[in-house]
Amino acid sequence: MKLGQRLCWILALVCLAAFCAPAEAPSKDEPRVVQMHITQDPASLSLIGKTDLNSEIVGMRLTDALVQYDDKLVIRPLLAESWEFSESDKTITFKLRENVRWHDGEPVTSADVVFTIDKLREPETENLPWAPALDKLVRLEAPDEHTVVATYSEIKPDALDAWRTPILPEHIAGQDEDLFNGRFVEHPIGCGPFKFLHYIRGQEIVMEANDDYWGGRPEIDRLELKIFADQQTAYQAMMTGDLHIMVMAANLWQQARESEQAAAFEFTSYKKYSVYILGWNQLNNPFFGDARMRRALVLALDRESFIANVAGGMAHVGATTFPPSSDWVAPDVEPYGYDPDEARRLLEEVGWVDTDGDGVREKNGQRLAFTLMVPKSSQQLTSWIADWQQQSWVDIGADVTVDQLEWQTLRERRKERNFHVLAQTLQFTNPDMYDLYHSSATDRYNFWGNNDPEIDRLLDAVRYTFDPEQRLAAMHGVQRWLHDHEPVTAVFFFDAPLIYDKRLRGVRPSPLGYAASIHGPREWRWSDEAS
Amino acid sequence: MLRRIVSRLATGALTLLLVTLLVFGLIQLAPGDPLAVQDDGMERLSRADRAALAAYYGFDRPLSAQYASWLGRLLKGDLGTSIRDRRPVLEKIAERLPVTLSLNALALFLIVALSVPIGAAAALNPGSIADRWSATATYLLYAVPIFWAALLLQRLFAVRLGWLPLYGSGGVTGIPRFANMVLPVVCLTYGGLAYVSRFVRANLIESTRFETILSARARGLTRFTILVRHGFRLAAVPMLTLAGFLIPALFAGSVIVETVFQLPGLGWLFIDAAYQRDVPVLLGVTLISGTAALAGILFADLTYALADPRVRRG
Repeated sequence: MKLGQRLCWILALVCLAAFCAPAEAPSKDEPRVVQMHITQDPASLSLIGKTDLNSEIVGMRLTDALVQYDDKLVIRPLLAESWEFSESDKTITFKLRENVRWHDGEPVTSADVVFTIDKLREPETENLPWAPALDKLVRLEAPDEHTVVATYSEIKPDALDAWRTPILPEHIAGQDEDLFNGRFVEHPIGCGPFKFLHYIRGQEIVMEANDDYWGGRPEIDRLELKIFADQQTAYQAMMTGDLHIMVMAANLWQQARESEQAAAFEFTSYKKYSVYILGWNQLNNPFFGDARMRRALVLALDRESFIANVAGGMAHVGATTFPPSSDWVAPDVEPYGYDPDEARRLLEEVGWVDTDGDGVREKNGQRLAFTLMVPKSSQQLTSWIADWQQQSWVDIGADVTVDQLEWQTLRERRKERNFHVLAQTLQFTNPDMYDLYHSSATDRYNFWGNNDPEIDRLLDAVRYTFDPEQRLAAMHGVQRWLHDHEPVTAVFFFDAPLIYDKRLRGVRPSPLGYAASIHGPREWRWSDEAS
Repeated sequence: MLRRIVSRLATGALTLLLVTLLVFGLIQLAPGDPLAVQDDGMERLSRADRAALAAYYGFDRPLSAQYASWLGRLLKGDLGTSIRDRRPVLEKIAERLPVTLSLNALALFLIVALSVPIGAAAALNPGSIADRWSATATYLLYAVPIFWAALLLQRLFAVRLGWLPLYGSGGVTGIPRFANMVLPVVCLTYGGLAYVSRFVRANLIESTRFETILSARARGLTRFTILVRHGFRLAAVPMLTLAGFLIPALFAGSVIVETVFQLPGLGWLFIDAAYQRDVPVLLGVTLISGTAALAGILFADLTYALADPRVRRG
């Protein structure tokens, strides 16, 4: 046999071996399994330690919190049957549901709640979603097995937010010396609708329906959280049926819609409480101290046409950072439209005029030349938005440089207030925008140097008013002020393009995601006939 | 020979130390720290909490002290604790090592198994059509970016044909299922073919110039027989060194392959740790992969010495 021939044989054998993968066909009476997408390994299965978005998603399946948001971000009872605020005593009294059991059969009691909150507040637990919001909690008591009384030094209506923390069983997690390396984190026991089965790092977290769930057994038998860091791979998995539900980048979502398999999927989108903002630095530069300047630059942006032509319709124009789809929004506050002439007029009114005819305006010898700082992103849309903004401002006589920075670098520059205009995305769960605009929040999120007694008063009112009507009025006041002063521009509120298998029913996304509310997998159903 | 081994080991250890120091220094230069990454820019940590955590992790100490304490623990066989999930670094590496090792071992084997016949076929008739075509084909492959090839292969074999799994280890921990390794191994292999097959060809041609070969030819042996009987023996020595250098290159490739194919190996762990500024994990993976690379080079070096008395004496 010649060498060339031999070579061919070897190659042929290798190829043959490579393609001998078994193809599996699902049979009819198999359990109803749903595979959903998560983007990363959760930081930890301790559920309260170093909690990130993915551990939150895992935690909500395995164990219950006292309360949880519904799809309108209204707080609903879970383990807590009811609760009562006392403004005078600064307390919240929770009444726990009776006859709730941990997955190992032990009863859930108020001692578990006290244990969890105590553990959560230890600095080494590094809980970021809930612990900071509990900093005004001074005492936590369990007068009986089903009552928890939380006493605060300062109480506000949004205090319930932090009580969305998953509750851990004291009789298991309490035995572990180290929350991150113990029995619990290896095999979390909860009281939630799903029971933990196994976790393969980088691959999947698998759970089965909890037959004894107090709220009724989920209809799906098995829930598999599939970890895909790479959107492309997740997309392919969706196309091959290895995934049943995920949020996709808009371009992939469109691609899926036009694919041959499109008929197998439901295509929808939901409104996120996530906004693409421009933050104008009012200090350290001669440009943005005047509100008319900020308004002028907003008027130069044709947002509607950008949404229609570039963003595939997957966004909404914002009037302020209050989500337009929320109940908090003030009906009389309209977003600024596209009016470049008015923008030019405003610039001239402030004193920015192009005297030397080079296309760039000047004032007192200073050119209108500033930098737009944006985070580096793998999503093309981010650079498209930056380019569009740059061009729009060049058109009205500004000289704009776009500075794309890695997120951590941007974060540091932001903290040092070393920027002119900052573009980034923000997310929120409640209407308390204190940290964004209050003059005392300069070491929090008020990077723009916003400082005004009027907005401080309004923000305080939103934060501390319990009466719903008065509170809403204060929110509207905040929005009117924001609209007039434009310290931050809510350029777009994005929609999340969601895709899921047609056989999956009962999907109810909330502004935080399709699996981040009281709804989600526990309400999902699986039907073999496509609708 | 023993002196040689000892001196090589000492140089190797020093190199490793320098590499870890370099990684440690580089990650400090990168903006942000693990606490900031965890917070994801939401500024939820108060100043006091931040300071307390920095003290807990020892970030408040001078860099030299931080590195020294890492070294001190290393001498006791302790690679420290991951900042991301507070698990022992050694445990995290141990659970991911089998994935990377099996991928790389298979790729290394395939590269050699394919390159040797390709190189030999080319060396048989230098300048022939087979020679030129194999060169063109392997160099073309060499130029194909791994992530792109991975995507194409996934689309064809996993999505369209459904012959092979798209991603993952096949629902097992440790060494992935064979079918799950096929595409990743192909991606790791094809780029190495050009280099190694050309190397084989060059060495075979070079070796056939020796007098033994001339005399063999004089005895009337065919070119093919000469190549197999004498050429390979002579070319084997330089090829061993090459295998030593392939290991680091493969590790670099597996960073991409593991991410695209969702294989929980060391490469993926390394990337994650870099994003998280998880210094103990970065140093741990650097140490392990660096050791593997140096061991490969050392192995090549020593076998070279064993095979060639001139090197041994020199």
